[in-house]
Amino acid sequence: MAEPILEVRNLKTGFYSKKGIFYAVEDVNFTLMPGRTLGIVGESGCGKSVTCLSMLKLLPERNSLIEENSSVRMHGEELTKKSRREMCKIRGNEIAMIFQDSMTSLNPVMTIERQMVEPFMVHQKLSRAEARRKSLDMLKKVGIPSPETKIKQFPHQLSGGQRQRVMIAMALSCNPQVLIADEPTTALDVTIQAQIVRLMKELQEKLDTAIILITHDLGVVAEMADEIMVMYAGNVVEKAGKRELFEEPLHPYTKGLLASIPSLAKDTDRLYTIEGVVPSLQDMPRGCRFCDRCEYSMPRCREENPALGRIQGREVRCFLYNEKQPKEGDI
Amino acid sequence: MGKYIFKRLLIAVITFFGITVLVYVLASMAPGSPVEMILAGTNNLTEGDVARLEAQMGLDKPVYIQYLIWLKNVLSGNLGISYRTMRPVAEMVAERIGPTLMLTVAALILALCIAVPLGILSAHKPYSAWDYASSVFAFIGAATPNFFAAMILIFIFSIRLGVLPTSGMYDAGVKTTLPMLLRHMVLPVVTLMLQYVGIYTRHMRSSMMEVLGDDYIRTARAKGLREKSVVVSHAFRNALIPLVTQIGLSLPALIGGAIITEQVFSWPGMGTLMVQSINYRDYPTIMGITVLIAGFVLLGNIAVDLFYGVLDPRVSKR
Repeated sequence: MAEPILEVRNLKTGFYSKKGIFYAVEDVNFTLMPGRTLGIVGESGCGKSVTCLSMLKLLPERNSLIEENSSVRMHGEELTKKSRREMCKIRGNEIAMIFQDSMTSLNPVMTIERQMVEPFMVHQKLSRAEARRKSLDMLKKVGIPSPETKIKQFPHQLSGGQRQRVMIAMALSCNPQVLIADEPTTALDVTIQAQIVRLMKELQEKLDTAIILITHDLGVVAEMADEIMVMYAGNVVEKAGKRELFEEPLHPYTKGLLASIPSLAKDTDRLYTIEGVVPSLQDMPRGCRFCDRCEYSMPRCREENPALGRIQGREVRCFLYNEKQPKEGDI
Repeated sequence: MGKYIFKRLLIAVITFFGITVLVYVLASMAPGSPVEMILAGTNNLTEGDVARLEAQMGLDKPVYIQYLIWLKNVLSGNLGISYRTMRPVAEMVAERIGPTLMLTVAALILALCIAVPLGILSAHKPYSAWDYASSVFAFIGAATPNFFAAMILIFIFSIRLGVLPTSGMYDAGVKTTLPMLLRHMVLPVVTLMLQYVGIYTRHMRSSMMEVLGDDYIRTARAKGLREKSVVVSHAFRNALIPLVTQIGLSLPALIGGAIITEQVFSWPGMGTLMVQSINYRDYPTIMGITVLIAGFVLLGNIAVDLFYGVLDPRVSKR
């Protein structure tokens, strides 16, 4: 089996507030294989984006903290200990990122060209003219019509789909080994969504990039991901291959998520919802973070948070499946 | 872009005429007739003399006709004759424009040269010792009235240290030189700019902080750009947009401030002339100066609008 590109261990990221540190992400572990796609699913605020921003150390240093024993390794090299300067060489070069809203994520006062040439000039030390030529190549690759005109325009002159294509082109320009896509299709029309998903899959096959896909759209995950990680309130609650997860979700939260997808086959008046709300960072329950909303919760669930345990080659954080669970922390 | 410029110019021209109407009506409503002012102290006057002078000055006609005549004269460059000196207003004002522009332009440029870097550094490391120091400095600057700052500066640099002159543009009775002029400029320019350094620093800081939290800044960082180029090439231009608006808004106040500052330092500019003219109820001069200042402020605003269009490509599309 091939070497993993990225290994994340015990990732724990917190934010400072007046009342102390609150952890937005705790005990997150995963590995990413070359050319594979990992989907991270969960509702807003569950820690999906914080996980990815922590890996690139893109969270503001002033009010956030990545815990000491967290580890993010790329080809065995520890990223959490890297200096700012070293991180700059990795960002956009080895790990690139695309964001949700392409309107706000592109600089409104700079032409597409000026924004696109930057990665080439910074990482590959190309001249402006060479960088421009390569940018045009990239725009062609992502299917932008008449790139010579578009490259001279400003972001507001492009359509939403075109802007997202530009974002993808920019992110892939230095042939990164890992692409983190943070809700890449959320701000787009459904038809454009499908195009963007197809484009990402095509480019992934061509360039053998590993993708971390963050989304709350289960349809997009079903389309793209090989493996799916479900997050809830800063914890990974379930991790499994796409097929297994969709066919037989184990964790009660995952079951709820899948049940809440509207279906044409079932004739129901009301959509399924998971009762209750996500606990806030300030008052996390002592036990399982999902226990207040869980249909299956037992007294034990309120006392301790189950660890992520292995069952049938997949991982799940629930006492329903691992009666004799090891104590918290070790897997 | 061409359409945008044309629109701005058109609005400016209309505004300019509006201002002249307002100024003329206000001046004609002011108590006391210019004829009385001129004839004051003259003996053996008949009703006929007064009427003749009124007719000669065109004051027997209705106000709107007077305005149109005045407007015609103004448009052909004739601002009228000063009641106080009996010299053409245009000539008097022309002598004074240079010194006033010298003060205001120098103050504006210096204020920006200090405030912009100060604001950026504060925003880059907010709530640091540096940020607090520059905030205190900015607040003191913004909160100190012109005339008070002028007194303090004169007290320290002219009276105590004796290094800088207190008034005028040149020393009397000696050949005028550039270093001499610069030495005379220091105190008035510093007085005038102090407030704007404060205001602009705060504006630059807050708009820079806002911009640094924007999504495209995160994109720039995710591309692997160094923090310095993130700030300089991605954030700076966006952060300038609100500051440019602020500069446009503060132009009239800057010229108003110059009137007070010039008076304190006996600077031979339009401000000093304005105060003298108000004291003598010299209406043609007051109006001439007002119209000219209005013109400058409008031109300044057009410049700001154009700069806006250059900074933000979305503006000229609207």
